[in-house]
Order: sequence, then structure tokens, then C-alpha cells
Amino acid sequence: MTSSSIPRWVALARTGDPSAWTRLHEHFRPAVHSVALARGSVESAEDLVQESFTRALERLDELRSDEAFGPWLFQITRNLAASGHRRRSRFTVLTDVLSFRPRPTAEAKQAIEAIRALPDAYSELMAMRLIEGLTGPEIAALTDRSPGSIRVSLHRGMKLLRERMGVHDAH
Amino acid sequence: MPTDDYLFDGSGPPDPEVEHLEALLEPYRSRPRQRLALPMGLAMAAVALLILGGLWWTQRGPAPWSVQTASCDGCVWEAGDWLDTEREATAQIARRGWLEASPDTRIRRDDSPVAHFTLERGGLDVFVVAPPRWLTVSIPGVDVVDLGCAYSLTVAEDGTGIVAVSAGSVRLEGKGDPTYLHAGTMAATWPEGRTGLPIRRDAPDTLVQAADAFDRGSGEVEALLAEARTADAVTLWQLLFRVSMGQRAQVLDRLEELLGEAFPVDRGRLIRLDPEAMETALARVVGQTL
Repeated sequence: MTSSSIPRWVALARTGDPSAWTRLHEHFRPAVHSVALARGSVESAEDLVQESFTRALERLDELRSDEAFGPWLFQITRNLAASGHRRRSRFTVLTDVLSFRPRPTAEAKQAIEAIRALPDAYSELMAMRLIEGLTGPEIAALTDRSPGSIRVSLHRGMKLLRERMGVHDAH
Repeated sequence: MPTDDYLFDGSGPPDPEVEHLEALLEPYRSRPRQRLALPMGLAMAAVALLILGGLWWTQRGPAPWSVQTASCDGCVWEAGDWLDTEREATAQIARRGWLEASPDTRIRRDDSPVAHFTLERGGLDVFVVAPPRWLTVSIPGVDVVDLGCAYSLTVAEDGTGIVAVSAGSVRLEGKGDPTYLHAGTMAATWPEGRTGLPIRRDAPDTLVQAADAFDRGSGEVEALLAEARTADAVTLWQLLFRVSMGQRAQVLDRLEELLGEAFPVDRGRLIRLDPEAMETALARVVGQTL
């Protein structure tokens, strides 16, 4: 999916085409997960992602510009996080355990908390880059920003992260 | 000296600090959840069945929402339409899955941008390959939310239901906290919104009866503890959330007895249902029983 094809997929999804929604889900999921990690709690990020997509689907008719689907979706995630979205069930942990993903180390927990503590302008972008592995150009396309501004934000975000994690900035 | 190129687009000489952080943060990365509650061979067979079934439907080319019954092959199922079956019927769900309805089933396709059905009575086998939460079946008092799976649903005339999961998992949303059902487990539902204790589908009858009595408020925790096998440890883990603080120690004692070792977390935290401690305990339960 390219940024120019997103409006077409959004329009198809609005007609109830489930394959279109699936494509959008696959395309935006890593970025939404980054926003959820940055703005919500680490433990409930997966649930917040699901809730974000569900809300977006329910409100798709309210989206004014199909080109702005990504930023609109991220704002839904931020709003849900700000409204105190919580993990909806204590049983969610069963799913998490069954996923058999590697367990974060203490250093990893420190690192993600340092990312989450960054100013809003950087925390989401750093999560997209360092956790989800998205490249700067991909982030630019997903967030509807210019590659140049993403490069600057990543640079500043990394500088702040180094300072906060007590790492000497070699740049 | 590293440049920002690697940070920006992965080009240029790798920045060791960025590489280190990428590796460190890997456990937090979003990914489709694997569902390993089934033995791997059985899970793969279930997936193959879903794919082959999907291909069969695709090649056969029914309408996205259609029903095949003895009297009607490929009738379009419009939103709002009720399907009343005299014999078995199969319905295509937007080329994302299908459901098989037992005779004497009454089910409506609801008007929804996603797949939503209301099952008034009867039985369904549901197979779906779709994003989690795309398909929901409302039964009296409870919404059965698909998380990517195959499952069976039965609703009796009095509105009580049984949900049994074959692959993947579903979420039961009634009154109170949702209940998660994973492959190989089942639970009862009631029209007033209660959901029963999840138990394994191969649980012995004595445990099923004990769980049923507990769900109805007439059973004793002791009976459940006595009938549970090591394989039923997940049921006892979920029981912790449904008993008083005073009874949790008793349940934990039995769990540790079945597992043959103490949980590596403070007992007080488990009794308080501390989420992190409960997750640690669950990891031990799952590791030994699923």
C-alpha cells in the first residue's frame, strides 16, 4: 500500500469491503502500536490498538478527508489513551503469555520508559523507528509529514534519548 | 563516526547504539499473535482447513453474503434478514469465513460495517479468517467476539449458551470483565449476562459438573479443587478471579500441588491479584499444561 493508494482503500472500507479494512489494518498497525506504547500503558498497548481500529471503523463516515486517514487514526488512539483506556480484562494476560514473545529485559524496560518519557513530538516517532523498525520515509508517509521533518525529529529524539539514558552523544 | 542516515532510513554505517536499542526493544514490537494453545500439528491442520475452505468458497464464487440451504443455493443474505433453518445451512461471511447453522437455528445478520449476527437459538459452527474483533455473534446476554478462530455456539430455548473454541480464541463480553476462551476450552453463558468458568473441552464429567454448580452459585470451591487435574490448572488460575480473597490461598495451594512446585512470586501479591504476579503464575501454568 502506498500513501497515494490509501484514500482508495479507505473509500473501499467505507463501503464495507472487509479486505480493504484488512489492508488498512495491516498497513497502519505498527504505527498505531507505536502511538499506543507512547501514549498508553505498555501492558495494554495491544488492546488499545484493537480498540483504536474498532473505533475508527465505527466512525469511518466521520472522516472528512480520506487522505488524512493515518493522522485521524493516530488521534483516535491518543484520545483513547488520554481518556484513561485500560486493559479491559485481567484475562488479557493469557493471550500475551501465549504469544511466546521474548520477555523484555530490565534494560529494555528502562529503554521503553525513556522513550515514553520523551516529549510527545518525539516519543511516537522514536517508538515507530526503534520498536517497530519503520524507516523515516515510511514514517513520513504514514504520518503525512515530510521526510525532512521526520529526519530532524528522529535526530532530536535520539539526542534526547541518549541524554536521558545517560549515553554520551557521539554526534 | 555514525551519521543519522542509519537512524533515518537504515542506510549508511550502522549506528551501534541504534542497533542495540532495536534489538533491546524487539519484545515490544507489534506482531500478529501466535496462538499455540493447540498442539502445533492440530493448529496447522486447523489453519489448512480454514485456508482450503476459504479457497473452496472463493473458487465457487458465492455472493459475499450468501446462504446455502436445502432449498436455496447462494441466496443473498441481506442485513436485517433472519435465517430460520429447518435443516443444516451454510452461510458465506463476506469471503472472510463461513458459518454452519444446525437445524432449528434462528439467526439474524445485523446491519453493521463489520460482521455482526444475533443468534436467538440453535447451534453454529463458525470459521473466520479476519482481523480480531471483526466478527461478533450476540447471544442472549453475551457478545461472542472473534479474535481469529474457529468455534461452536449453542443457544437453548431458555437463552443459556455454550461456547466451545477449536482454534484461536474468542472473548465473551457480558456483564463484568470479559472472559477469554482459548483453543480447547469452553464456557457456559446465561441470558442475564453471566459467563461461566472456562474449562477444557476434555475435562472429566465430574469437573464439568463441579464447574456448572459453581457457575450457578450452588457449588463449592472445594469440589472444583478436588476434581481438577494438572491439565485443568488454567481453570483454577481463572477461578482465582472469581473467589473471595480468603479462598484464593486454598486455590493457590491446589494449583501448586498440581504443578508440583511453588509459584516464583510472592503469595500475597497473587492473593491481591497483582497483574504482574498473576502473569508470572499464568506463564508457569501455561508452560506446564498447554
